[in-house]
Amino acid sequence: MIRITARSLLLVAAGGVMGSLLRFAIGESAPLVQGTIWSTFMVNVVGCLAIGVVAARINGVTSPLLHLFVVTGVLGGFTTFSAFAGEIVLTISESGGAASWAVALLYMGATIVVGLLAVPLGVRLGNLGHSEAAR
Amino acid sequence: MSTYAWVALGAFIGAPLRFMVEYRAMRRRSVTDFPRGLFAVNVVGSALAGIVVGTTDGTLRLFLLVGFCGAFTTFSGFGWASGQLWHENRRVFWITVLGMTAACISAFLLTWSATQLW
Repeated sequence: MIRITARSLLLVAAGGVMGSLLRFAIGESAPLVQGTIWSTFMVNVVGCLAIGVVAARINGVTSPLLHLFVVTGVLGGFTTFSAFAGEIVLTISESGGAASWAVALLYMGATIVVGLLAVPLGVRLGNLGHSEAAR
Repeated sequence: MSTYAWVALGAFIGAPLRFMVEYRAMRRRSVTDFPRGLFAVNVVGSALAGIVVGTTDGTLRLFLLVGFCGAFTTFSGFGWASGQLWHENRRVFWITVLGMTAACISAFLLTWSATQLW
């Protein structure tokens, strides 16, 4: 069982730094999505896919510290809810017109639906060619 | 100090703080319950983000918004908890998905609007 110790806090901090820098780099320079709300969309969907893959591949009971580093640290730092919520508000407030409402609602619905579907898809991907070997 | 260093510093504080909040909430929770710890970090992080967007810019904004708030809140944890609730408790699934989204948007809107008033 994971406890709050200097080691577990440092592992989460280190993973969080790695995930956050990757999120920042994608927002700054990824082709097509840089500087737009869709970089956050991409980050959150990829993060949901990854948490599914990790759940299938890393056993949290036998490898608790690795699981903590990757899931709570890297993926927790990589994905973000504050940017998601803020971008919806700011997109609408920029012009307030029907078009900005449509973009904001599309962004909100797409992030939730695609993000939540990405989790079980990630679990399936993680289990590909792995289930026979592991169990 | 480069922009990346400010983001890293914020995340270095935000991520372990989220872990501590979720850890405290997790001890008295099963997978069929509403994820209170997750709700707390995401709503508080969104409210703080509204203040930061309204009052700061430059490196302070990178540190607090992209670094701290970004790492303190999480969407992958939300996706994972929702996936479990979909199988375990469909009613709490809908409360979590719709409630967390509405609460975080409201929290950001509230604090950001407040900063625009003065």
